Amino acid sequence: MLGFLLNRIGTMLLTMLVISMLVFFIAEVVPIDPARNALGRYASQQAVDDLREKMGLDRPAPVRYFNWISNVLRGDFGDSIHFQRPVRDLVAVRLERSLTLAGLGFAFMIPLGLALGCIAGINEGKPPDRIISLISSLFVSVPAFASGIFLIVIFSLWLGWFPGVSIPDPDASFLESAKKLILPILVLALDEIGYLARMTRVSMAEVMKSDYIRTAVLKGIPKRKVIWRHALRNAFIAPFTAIMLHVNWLIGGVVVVEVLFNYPGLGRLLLDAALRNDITLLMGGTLVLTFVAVATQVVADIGLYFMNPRIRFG
Amino acid sequence: MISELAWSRSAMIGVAIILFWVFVGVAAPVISPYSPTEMHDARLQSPSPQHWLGTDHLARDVLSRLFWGTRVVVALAPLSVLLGILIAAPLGLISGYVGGKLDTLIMRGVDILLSFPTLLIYILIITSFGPSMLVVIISISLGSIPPITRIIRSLVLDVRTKDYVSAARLRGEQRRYILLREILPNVSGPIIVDTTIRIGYAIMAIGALGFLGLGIPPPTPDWGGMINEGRQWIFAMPWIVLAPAVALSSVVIGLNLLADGIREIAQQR
Repeated sequence: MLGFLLNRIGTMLLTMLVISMLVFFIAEVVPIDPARNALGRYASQQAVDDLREKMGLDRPAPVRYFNWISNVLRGDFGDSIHFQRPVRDLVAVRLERSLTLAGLGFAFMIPLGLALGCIAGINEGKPPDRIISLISSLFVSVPAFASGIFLIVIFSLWLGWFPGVSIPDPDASFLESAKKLILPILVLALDEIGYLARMTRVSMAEVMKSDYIRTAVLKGIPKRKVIWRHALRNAFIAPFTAIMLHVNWLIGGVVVVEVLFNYPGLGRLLLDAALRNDITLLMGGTLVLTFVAVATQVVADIGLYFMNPRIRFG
Repeated sequence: MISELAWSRSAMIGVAIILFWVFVGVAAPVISPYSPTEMHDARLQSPSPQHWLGTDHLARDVLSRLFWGTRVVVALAPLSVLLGILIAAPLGLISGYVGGKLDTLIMRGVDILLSFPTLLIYILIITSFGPSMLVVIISISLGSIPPITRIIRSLVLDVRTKDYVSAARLRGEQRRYILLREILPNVSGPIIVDTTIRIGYAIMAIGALGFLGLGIPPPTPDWGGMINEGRQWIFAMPWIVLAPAVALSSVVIGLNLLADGIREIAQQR
């Protein structure tokens, strides 16, 4: 077991190493000179060159990568070009907001997706399955920015129930803040529910056909009890991993939702950094968000290991 | 295969939707009432007999932009997926068939790239190289290489133990012959299903990039870009953003219906 844990953590470190190199070398291409940027357009070439030397920009790329990554490991991501403030502070505030949004999205989508998938899986081929399968195919096909547009038009424009923007206001009451978050959470959840329901349906249908469920039914245990006691536990393993490994898709959804609703999270920050060519901020934020994604996947792997005895003892 | 598809209702609906949009894309110059970049006398007009979907913030005809925008989706998405397959197929075939250290190396690389959130790769590449049609195509095909490689590899692993492959090996056929003549034709069915779904993903990705302001640069009409530009007026003139959002969703639904249909037929065999 210790071997398994070490293996996973080793893989994670290797992944982060390669990804940090990718981020650094893709960012190398950006035609912006940080020294020129810091001093402004009217600084003399001599002054710019001096600053470049001081910042270490004249050194070869591998040396600069090494300097960058050793600073990052100490928690220093450099200063944002646009905000002139440490990237670390900017990212920390925004990450917390994004995690709140994603967490609420998860809390909404997981029970609903699992429930829909289970109902469909138990009734495979019957009308409830057909209806749920149709709905989940629709949800899978509609991208987050489009479903967001639909929901805003329906719920804010026509019905007027919820606001179409979600800029947090520290003075607003809890109810007010919750109202602002409902649409973004809904869009985020819709982006994943179809996928989750499909996964659960397949898994549940498979479990219902398995020998141990048939044995339980033949032993005379009521169907309801068989489902609650035996089927659910085994049917949830597959969708659990599927959704955790889908975290990259979720991150894409978070970026889109934050932009659509003007929610100031890490996704919005990264996009603004990209649009303003604020490369230090983009690099730092991308690295942090990717670390969150990779760590989630490792946690999912380890969780699966403990949930599924077939892997643990296999 | 094609005659069997005609029996699947979902596949036929899917094909009809896709053909409709392909027609719109091809015929855009003929069926569009105006040029997609021509500016008319008033901006943000409501729908009228002259402008069925009104005009946008630069007084351009929204319907014409919608029609022309089809071209971006219909042409670029399949193109970028095909580019991805061209690189991923050899990788997946070799990784699955040859195995050993090469397989370990390729799969390690694939795993690492798969754990990188795709949208972040797109944002990073497009920021670094600047937004252009070529950069958008290349970044989307790069993003599709790891998952396609992995799927092809797993298909090959399944097929390589089949008798006809062993027979070819015993006949003394070359590795290239076995890969291209024995294995590739037998994994092509699932690859077609995957490609259909992946074109849908590519359409969503191109749309998302346009929506984020990182897609095909203006004034080229592009559905994601139309949503991005029209977003400010969503409360006053929702049709400007609803039209491209419905159009884009319908194409992806069409592709997924077609994929479902092909899969159904494959399972019946």
